[in-house]
Amino acid sequence: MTRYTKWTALREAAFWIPAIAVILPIFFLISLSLKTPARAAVSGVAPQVPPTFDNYTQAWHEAGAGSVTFAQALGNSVLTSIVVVLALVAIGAPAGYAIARRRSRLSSVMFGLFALGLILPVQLATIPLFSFMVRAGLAGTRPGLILAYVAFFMPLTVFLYTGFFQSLPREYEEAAQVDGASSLRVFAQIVLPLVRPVTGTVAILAGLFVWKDFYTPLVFVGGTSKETLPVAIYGFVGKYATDWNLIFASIVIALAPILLVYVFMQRYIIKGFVSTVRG
Amino acid sequence: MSTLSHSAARLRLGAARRAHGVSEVPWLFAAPALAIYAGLLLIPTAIGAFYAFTAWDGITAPQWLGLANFQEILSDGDGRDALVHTLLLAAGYVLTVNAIGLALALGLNTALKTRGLLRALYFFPAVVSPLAVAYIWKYVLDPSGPLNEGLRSIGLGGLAEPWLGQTSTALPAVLVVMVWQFAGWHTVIYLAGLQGIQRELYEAAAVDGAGAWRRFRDITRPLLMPAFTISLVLSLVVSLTTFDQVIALTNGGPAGATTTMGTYVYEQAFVNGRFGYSAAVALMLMVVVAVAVTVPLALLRSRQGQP
Repeated sequence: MTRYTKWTALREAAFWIPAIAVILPIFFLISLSLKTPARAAVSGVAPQVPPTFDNYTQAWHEAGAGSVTFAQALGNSVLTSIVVVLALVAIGAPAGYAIARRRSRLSSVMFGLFALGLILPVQLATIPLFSFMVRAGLAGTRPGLILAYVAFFMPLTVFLYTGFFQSLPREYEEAAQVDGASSLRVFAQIVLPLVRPVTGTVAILAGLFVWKDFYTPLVFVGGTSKETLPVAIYGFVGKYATDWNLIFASIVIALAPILLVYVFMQRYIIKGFVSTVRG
Repeated sequence: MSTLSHSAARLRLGAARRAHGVSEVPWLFAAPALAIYAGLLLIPTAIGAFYAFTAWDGITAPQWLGLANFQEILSDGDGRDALVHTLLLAAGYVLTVNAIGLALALGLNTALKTRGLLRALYFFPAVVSPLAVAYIWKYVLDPSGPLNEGLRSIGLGGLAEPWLGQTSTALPAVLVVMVWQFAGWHTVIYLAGLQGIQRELYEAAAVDGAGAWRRFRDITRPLLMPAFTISLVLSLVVSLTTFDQVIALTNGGPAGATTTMGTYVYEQAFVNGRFGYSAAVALMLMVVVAVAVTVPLALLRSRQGQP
């Protein structure tokens, strides 16, 4: 449609300005994380040659004002994300399937009920939920944190699965059921493999959410050995205040897995984040 | 004859369906999801709404207060400040992030060679923990941080400010950090909307002599409405519930200049142990979110209904 002209080149350059604004703080982050404390205090943002990895070693082994080292927090984040995603798929997909396949009034009521949760701020629920977790002995435990996440993320999961199942023809399932397969087998062996795109979206959105989230683990496991990365960073800042070289090393540890995944999967991740746009 | 055998086959299929329950997926499939969602989110929300009218320390029995908590929020300086900061932050954020997102999306939706790379770079901050982003910016905005040093080095030292340390710039600084992180998210939302618009529409309009502005107004604007709606709702929900960025950048300071309803709810419940009062703030936040999301959506819908 359009040719690449001098004006296009100029416009292209202009659109690199916001990109540089994105890159610069990330550059500061990495540059400072590779400096000795003495150099970090005086040398501005220019990288230190040769770099030091001492900050990473210290952050990896040492706990901040919270009670976890970054090695532990990384493990907690990985474990919590994986279990939350598995639980959401195992529990949310069949729910979306039932809501999409039943064509009754009850089905639209159920859909509306889950859709309501899409904009429900969790702050109000957190207060009684916390008190319930304390009484149930789940406060400060990983199962408690996972349960809270699964509940908070269930509306979006059910919403996405229901939408996809509604657009999925019934023929395969019906053929299989006529052959005598049970509902559960049809669902697990025929339906679930067909909705892999939604499962991918749920895994990306929920996995990233758990990885990034600060509020939920602060409330439910703050101060325990089950803290995830953001709470560990918070505790680290609490202890080391403005030792940016050390704090930034801890942030890079939390960021590195995401960066790695992002480099290879950014198209899918971005698609996941806009998947709600097209319904 | 053929009709007869056809309907006989249908009958047999129908019998098979009934026998195996083909058309009915058991509601049991939805039971675990409903139990977790209702038990751990919906019912706690309802219970929280009840606590909002009580004085409750989280341990002993709650005392009924009627509307006293809400009166306190609106008359007490801290509560009212949190409400005002939240509304200011949300207004600034929603306007800025949608304007930048739309502008960048319109730019990316053209024949730029590095389009894919730019999109990936713009979006990247959205996948980083907001708390981590805020700490990076706390360093950047430090009185002797890179921003002020940069200004001094190009002779603009007069513009250097203790951005997070004075009441006049602290809340705008929180806003900037949030916009930096999420503008790319809104860019990709608008971009997805733009890419769903058929190119032929623009070509036909251009043939008919419609200028760039008319093409935007009559084609892009109406067809971008779904993306705009999503973007608006997301930006409202994100900014009205701001928590991480404030905790990391200012912890509500200086002198309470950056407290939001999100941080106030947390502080009142989990620092001060005023669970009833905190629930009242959270209920108010929920109502603010509900109104903020519903009113513009209703307005959009009624305007779209007009010719």
